Amino acid sequence: MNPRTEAAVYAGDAVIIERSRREPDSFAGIFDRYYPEIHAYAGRRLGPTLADDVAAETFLIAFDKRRRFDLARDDARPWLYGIASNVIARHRRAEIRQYRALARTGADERAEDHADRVARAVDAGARRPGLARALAELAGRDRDVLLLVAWAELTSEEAGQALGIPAGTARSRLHRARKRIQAALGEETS
Amino acid sequence: MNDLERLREAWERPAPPTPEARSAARRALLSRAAARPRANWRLPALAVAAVTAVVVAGTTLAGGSEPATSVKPVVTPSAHVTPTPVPTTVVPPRDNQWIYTRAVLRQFRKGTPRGQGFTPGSPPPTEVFEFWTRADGRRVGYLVNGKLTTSNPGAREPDNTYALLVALPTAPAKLLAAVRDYRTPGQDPDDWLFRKLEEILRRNPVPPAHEVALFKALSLVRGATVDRSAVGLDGAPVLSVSRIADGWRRVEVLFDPRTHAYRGVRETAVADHTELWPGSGVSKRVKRNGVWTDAPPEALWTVEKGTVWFSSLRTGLAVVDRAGQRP
Repeated sequence: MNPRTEAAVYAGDAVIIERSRREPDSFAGIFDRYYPEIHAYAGRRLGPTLADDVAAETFLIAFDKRRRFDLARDDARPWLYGIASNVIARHRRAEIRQYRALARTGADERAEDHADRVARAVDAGARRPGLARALAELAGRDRDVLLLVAWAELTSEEAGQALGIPAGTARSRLHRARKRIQAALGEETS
Repeated sequence: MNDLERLREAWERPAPPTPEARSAARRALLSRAAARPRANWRLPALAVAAVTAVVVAGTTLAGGSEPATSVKPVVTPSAHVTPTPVPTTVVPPRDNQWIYTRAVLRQFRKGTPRGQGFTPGSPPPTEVFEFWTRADGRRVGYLVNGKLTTSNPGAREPDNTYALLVALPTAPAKLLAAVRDYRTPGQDPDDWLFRKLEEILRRNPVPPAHEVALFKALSLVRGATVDRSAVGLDGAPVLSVSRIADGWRRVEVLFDPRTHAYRGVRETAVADHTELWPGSGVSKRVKRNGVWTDAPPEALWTVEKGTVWFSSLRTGLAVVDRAGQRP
């Protein structure tokens, strides 16, 4: 996709949201574009069952708040991830419980189809217990920034936008979280 | 590889959302967008109608006292299809009760390897599936790895809200029009209508007059045909109403030929088919060289003409007091 087409795609988010203020149904365009991505993010953090609820609720809240979306922004993703982060925060205990379980066993109790993917993920999976332990120990606000960058692939500025915090604050939270992750990786390989 | 990349790799991208979850979420969103205020004020009145409109005779199916927390795993990968008789008369549920359904499903599983081919000789496997619907439509429940999970279905519609079901007219054409009112834009109207009518039947102890009306309404959907000499999932004669969906599979809703009681649903490939992800109407955004773009569709698996691709034979139906409770 060339930059011009890309720009048109991003402009499309604002156009769709602006249109949805008059024609509510057209918000489905935002859903169709980003539901799989938001679902995947929620799934990584909370597992597939809660992911269904979190993703569905994220779009209901986004719809209700569509008038607050800044139409000057090119991309609805940070806004949607911000909403998703708030919904995920309500399940913080479930999230921590899951990381702790992974830290103990290395087994992913969420995914029944995990075994099918083990062969491909053996190398990456071996690091999970240490990383899971580190994630469980992070402060929630640091973890939000870290995972928005690592798993949602937002920039730290976009993560800041998503969470409604200044870019500098997002950067320092990310820095702090990455130190912990790097330490965990160091322990795994040492 | 830096720490962020390692973190990304260590938690592989999860399996895509199920089509059912996606469509439930989309439906909830579009229902919100359609903002049907009537549902809010009509429900109490309809709830009263639910109690008074259904004439009941026969067995009360409510019962059991097993708490939700003691639910045992019931998903058995190769469950033998031996249906237990399903009574045709039931006591209507109160708003705070749950409708329990049990079915033997034949369907592909999460984790079906890519590239797998399904043929008439090697169709998807069967499993037992249990589902709970709170009669007022607030929650639905199902087992995930043997654990009860409930969620909000989003919109209240006749398939998940008993009062809305019994408030439907029993004249088939009027019933069809009333159900059509629930449709949200962006879906093939006839596919949607056929599926919705089946869902209403599948999830509920439908009063006999409504069951006959739903059968007739199904046969009125554009493209539907009735086969009075079909054979059901358990080998017994059935009444089948069917239509072709997505150009490649025949969706049949199966009824008892004598009573018109709902028996199940069967989807058979009428043409060779390759399942794609993301498929029609679904997009998946991926980042390539720093640019977000739509992922091209990939072939997941193939289905040979004649394969029973999906089926659901209902083997249990009851009204219970709690999600997770069995009759």
